[in-house]
Amino acid sequence: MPYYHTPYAVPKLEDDASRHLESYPARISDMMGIDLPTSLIPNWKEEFLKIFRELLNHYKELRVMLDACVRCGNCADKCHYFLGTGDPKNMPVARAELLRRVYRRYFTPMGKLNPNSPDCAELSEKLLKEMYIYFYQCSECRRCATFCPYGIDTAVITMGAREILARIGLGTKYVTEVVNKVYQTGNNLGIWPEAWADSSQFLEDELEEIFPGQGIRLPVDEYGADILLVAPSADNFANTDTMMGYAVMFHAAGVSWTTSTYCDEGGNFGMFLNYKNMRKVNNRIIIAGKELGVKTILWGE
Amino acid sequence: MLDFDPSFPYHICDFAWKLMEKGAFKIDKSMNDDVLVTYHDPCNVARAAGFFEPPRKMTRYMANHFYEMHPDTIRERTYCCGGGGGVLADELTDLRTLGGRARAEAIKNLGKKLAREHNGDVRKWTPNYLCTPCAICKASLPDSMSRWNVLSDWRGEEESEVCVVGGVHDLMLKSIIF
Amino acid sequence: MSFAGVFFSLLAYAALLLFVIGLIARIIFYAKTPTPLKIPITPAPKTAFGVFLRMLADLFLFRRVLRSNLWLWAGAGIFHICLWLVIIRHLRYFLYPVPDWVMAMQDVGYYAGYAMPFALLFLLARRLWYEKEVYISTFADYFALLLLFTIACTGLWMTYHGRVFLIDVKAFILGLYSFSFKPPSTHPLFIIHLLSVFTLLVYFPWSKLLHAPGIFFSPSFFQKHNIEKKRHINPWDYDVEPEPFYTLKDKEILADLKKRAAEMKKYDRTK
Ligand code: SF4
Ligand code: SF4
Repeated sequence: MPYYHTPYAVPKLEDDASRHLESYPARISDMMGIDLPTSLIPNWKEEFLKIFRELLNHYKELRVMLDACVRCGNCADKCHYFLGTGDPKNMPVARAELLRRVYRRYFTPMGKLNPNSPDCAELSEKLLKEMYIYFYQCSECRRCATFCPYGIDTAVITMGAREILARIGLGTKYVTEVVNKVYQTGNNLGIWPEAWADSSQFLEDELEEIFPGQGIRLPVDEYGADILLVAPSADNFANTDTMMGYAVMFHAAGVSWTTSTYCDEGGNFGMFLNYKNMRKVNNRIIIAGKELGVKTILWGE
Repeated sequence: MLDFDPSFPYHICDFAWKLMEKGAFKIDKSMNDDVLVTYHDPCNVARAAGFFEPPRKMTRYMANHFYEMHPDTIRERTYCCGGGGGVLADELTDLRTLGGRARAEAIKNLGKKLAREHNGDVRKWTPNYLCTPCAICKASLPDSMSRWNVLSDWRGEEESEVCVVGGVHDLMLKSIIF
Repeated sequence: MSFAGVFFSLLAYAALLLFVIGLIARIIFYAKTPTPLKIPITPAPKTAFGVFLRMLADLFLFRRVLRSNLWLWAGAGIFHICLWLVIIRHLRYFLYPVPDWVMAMQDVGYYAGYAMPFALLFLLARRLWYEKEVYISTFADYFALLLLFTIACTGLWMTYHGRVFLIDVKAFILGLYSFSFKPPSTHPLFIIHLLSVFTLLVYFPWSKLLHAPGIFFSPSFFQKHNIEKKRHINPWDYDVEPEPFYTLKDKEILADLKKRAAEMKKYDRTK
């Protein structure tokens, strides 16, 4: 196409090219920890439709976006997973169509008049499986939305679908584990507060070696600091240079700051699961900010 | 020094850039000459929050060799690193490196473009530092970089190195002087 | 009063009623549903006026299509422009006396009428040509295209090559206003044209053709990017019960958390 540039040639369609890339199912302990059913509930069909209806009444975006798509294909070659795998179901529009077919079947007059039309899909185990695979192959990045003439955001549809899947008992191991870890330890990596403090101490020592005599600090849990830094927990362990970078920056700027062991995580994996967990994870930040009496909250990189 | 609205959470790059603009930090740019930097917009920071400029300006302020990739692969049109949305799981490594291919190829294309402009070798002009303010990108992209062979000779060492993925404040740590 | 007059008039009323009710019901639905999340597509305008301008660009220039797919932009653009011109041209059958500006648009509408079927054919060909498009196209897409194509072709044929008594057509339409059930022209082309239009009207509020009103209700479009100024409140937010706050010094809470985490792990082993 004349205007649009892709870094490499758009692949040929290849059916089911990434079907085998399926996330592991969630562990029982994690699902319990985050207040979701531990495995697929027996009356999942009714529950599916019930939650779906609730979502349609709660989210304007979901309703509009399920209705308005014209299948123009503008978004198709914009998804990096489609570019990478060539699986047609990874085209944003096809991904959304998984849920849209169910929507048409149960929530529009068309589907009620003619349930067997090719545009509708009956809820079935097979479809559920497909949803589980392909909705967990979306990274909710919203690149597709940038190009859609109606601003149809497949991420919203993915979030809706995941909300339903999670609440009927289908979560992935990775996401549920991370959210559960946040509830237990305050961060995604499952670092206990003591370990967080140790690590901060270690980085302080490092900084002392690089900038001797400066006394650059990485404060933990300090009441009355000006700034609460909510950085991704990985910064303290994997990308330590970044964490030291913050410390140096704050030191040079001369402001008082702190991290909190109650919430030392900037990434919210609740968003990748369902709304309630997203809210709960976010809530921790506000609580930490209030309890520590900080003036403002900064997100880490 | 703090003239921020205290009730609103900010991104740290916003904070840092506002101070940097006023010259609050002493930066020795030449410390970052060993890296050829390009900037990857994380979806959440760029597309979701509309936060494009401060990290870029910071990087430009701290590094001499900063180049942008093709406009269709940055800013609001940026590609996801491939690891967002819970795809960072180990069992999905294949998927997320496939998803990260777009970014890897975009960097290689930048290398080709720079080589053409400077009449140089492609490897020499392939960026060796991908700057991105996102922990998930930093965890996910290195796999893609090695899978799709984003190799750089910028440092001029004997063996080409795989492009490193790091943060904005890493550059600050390297270049700040007290 | 003839049978045909009553029959087609009643059909026309029914189709119009279904169209209007359906559309209004849809729009009320959209308007009433809350938007819990702040999801403007950035870079987004910060003010309502900016949103309005952006909406104009998207409505009239198809900005988003333009920057990613030139062919689609041309095809869809020509089709939509022609559609509007032809609709304006048709006002001459609906208004009495006919305003001057409608008469002035007749010539333009004439050419638009010729271009429309070609644009539709192009859009159809695109769907059949590209592998990706074939995959994502559904029955509804072909149906809508073919329906519009039928309408366009019959209309065109009728105007320039068939012998349809325009007097009859106009009498029928004006008769609808006064419930006088005038018979329409019985030319087969006109009957097909009329029935297709009725189908389109009924089909519109329940199909992908909703993209026309939908674009105004798409939160990623109409939301302002003003997160710094105003906090976005979710109207139906859940009350969540927070876990107790702790710092490093709250040894009991930490010990308790650890115990709970270890206990939870047991469920996995017994699985
Ligand atoms: S770009 Fe939008 S309207 Fe077009 S197919 Fe994709 S989601 Fe549908
Ligand atoms: S939001 Fe999902 S479907 Fe859309 S481009 Fe990103 S990964 Fe693909």
